[in-house]
Amino acid sequence: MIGDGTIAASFRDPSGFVFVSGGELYRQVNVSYRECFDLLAASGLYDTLTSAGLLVPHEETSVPPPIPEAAYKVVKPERVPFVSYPYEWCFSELKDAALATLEIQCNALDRGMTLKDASAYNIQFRDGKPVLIDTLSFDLYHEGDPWVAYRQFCQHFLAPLALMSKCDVRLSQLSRAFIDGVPLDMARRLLPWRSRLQFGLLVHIHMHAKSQSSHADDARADGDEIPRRPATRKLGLHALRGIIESLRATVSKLEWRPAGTEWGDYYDDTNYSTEAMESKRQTVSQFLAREKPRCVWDLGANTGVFSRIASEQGVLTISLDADPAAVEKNYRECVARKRANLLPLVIDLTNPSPSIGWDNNERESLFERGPADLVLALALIHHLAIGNNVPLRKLAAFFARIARGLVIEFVPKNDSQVRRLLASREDIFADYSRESFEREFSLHFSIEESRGVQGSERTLYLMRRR
Amino acid sequence: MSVIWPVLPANFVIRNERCKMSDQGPARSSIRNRLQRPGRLLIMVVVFCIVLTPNAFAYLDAGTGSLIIQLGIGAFLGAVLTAKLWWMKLKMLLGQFFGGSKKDIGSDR
Repeated sequence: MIGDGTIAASFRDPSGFVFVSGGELYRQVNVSYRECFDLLAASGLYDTLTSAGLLVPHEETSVPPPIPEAAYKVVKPERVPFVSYPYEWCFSELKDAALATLEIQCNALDRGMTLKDASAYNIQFRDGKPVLIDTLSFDLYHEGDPWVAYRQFCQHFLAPLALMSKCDVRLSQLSRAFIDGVPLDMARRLLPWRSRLQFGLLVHIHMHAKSQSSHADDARADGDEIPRRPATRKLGLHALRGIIESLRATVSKLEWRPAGTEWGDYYDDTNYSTEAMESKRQTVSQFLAREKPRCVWDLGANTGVFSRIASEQGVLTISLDADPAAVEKNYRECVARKRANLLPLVIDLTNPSPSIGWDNNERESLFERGPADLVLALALIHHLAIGNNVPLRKLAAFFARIARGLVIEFVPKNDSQVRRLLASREDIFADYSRESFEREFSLHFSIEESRGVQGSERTLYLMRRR
Repeated sequence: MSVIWPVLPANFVIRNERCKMSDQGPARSSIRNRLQRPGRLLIMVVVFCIVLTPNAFAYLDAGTGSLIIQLGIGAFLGAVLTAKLWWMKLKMLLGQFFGGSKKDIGSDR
């Protein structure tokens, strides 16, 4: 959000913008968008999409618009509980978001409208499903027009999905570097040659990239300052539907199966006994029931075993882990069990999402989206303190910044997992002890309770920020 | 690129006002000069067919190459969609035919 209450990311589209007033989120619809906005409702598209859970519903309000001379209406959209970004999504989350975008476009074409943008940032996860949050994304469809958002769809969705599927799943992080999506010429170079054998990738990435580079200079005619003249050319509605269906089929065929990464099979590879695991579950469950948070961030959540304890208590739970395989497994479990209040995200705490985009203010950092009512930091602190050399004092300050309440597990040096971390390096962590941990965290938190995890040397703490 | 580009439409219309103005001046004579060289005429026609941009404007840059590729692939993918729809219909009919037979067998038991 910037000084006048407008949301920093809401500036590109002249049709309107989002602003905050009195702590509530509103959207000003400008007069220039009047015809489209009215058709959205009159055509039945708004009802179709909102009832299918593909578009956030809104209600009209009498809140004064920030720019009255341009305003047609002010609406109050339903707020999504947590804003996440494509570079934080696992493969299946990005794929589901892509398919939702195409489904919305199909519905729009049925009603005489079309998506004028296909930004992955316009999609958010609500109740475990992707939903379009930008009500002003629709334009009138004119018979013969190609899809103006085709380039954006390929860059925001298809290229990263293809790279994740065919090269390396960690290439999702390219979306963080390229805020308007992965450039297709780059995707074309990175993808293996065999990707050309898949018709959809051949057409929508390889040929598309070639077409882009062939016509990169078409805006100027023969090197002078005069733009080349656009002319009427027609793309029939059925041909356009053919392109959308081809994109849908291409995205649907892209697969990635989590295997062989660091933590995907963590629980098969720990020193947890059944007794210790059950003891930890019970303590976490009791701490959560006692604190009754509205929102929990489970940091280093792995496949979300403890996130589910929070979500099953009806708490909105954001489940963060650095490993795309663990997050993929977590998301698939959420989809299979229809968990509506659990959102798994790929976030590396040693390098969490920064503020990016125009003015370094367009997409929020992880911290700007907090603090959480309660943070779960289970079997995490040794990775940050020893694996990433972060002193306990800095760790305590970090948690105080992002959490009002904290359930944290201290893992001592004699634990096999810590011994493993120290196996190939010098132990420079003389200060890493339970006493130091309690001393440093007490500077920011009051320790409400501590309980040993039965069958292990570990201790669970419940803390509240001072 | 193995794309069959559509021919120049009969109702070819210049939409961009700035371009209209430019066509009144030196740019036009430049084109005339080029057309006087017969070897280049064919090249000019081909280039025009390829670089013609559809008249689709948006608040985002749709990208000339991204619009042109759609014109190139649209007809083919539309035909593929038609084939898919027919195939689905055929499968549905066959499913009804054979499914119905199985149901009958089941009900006999």
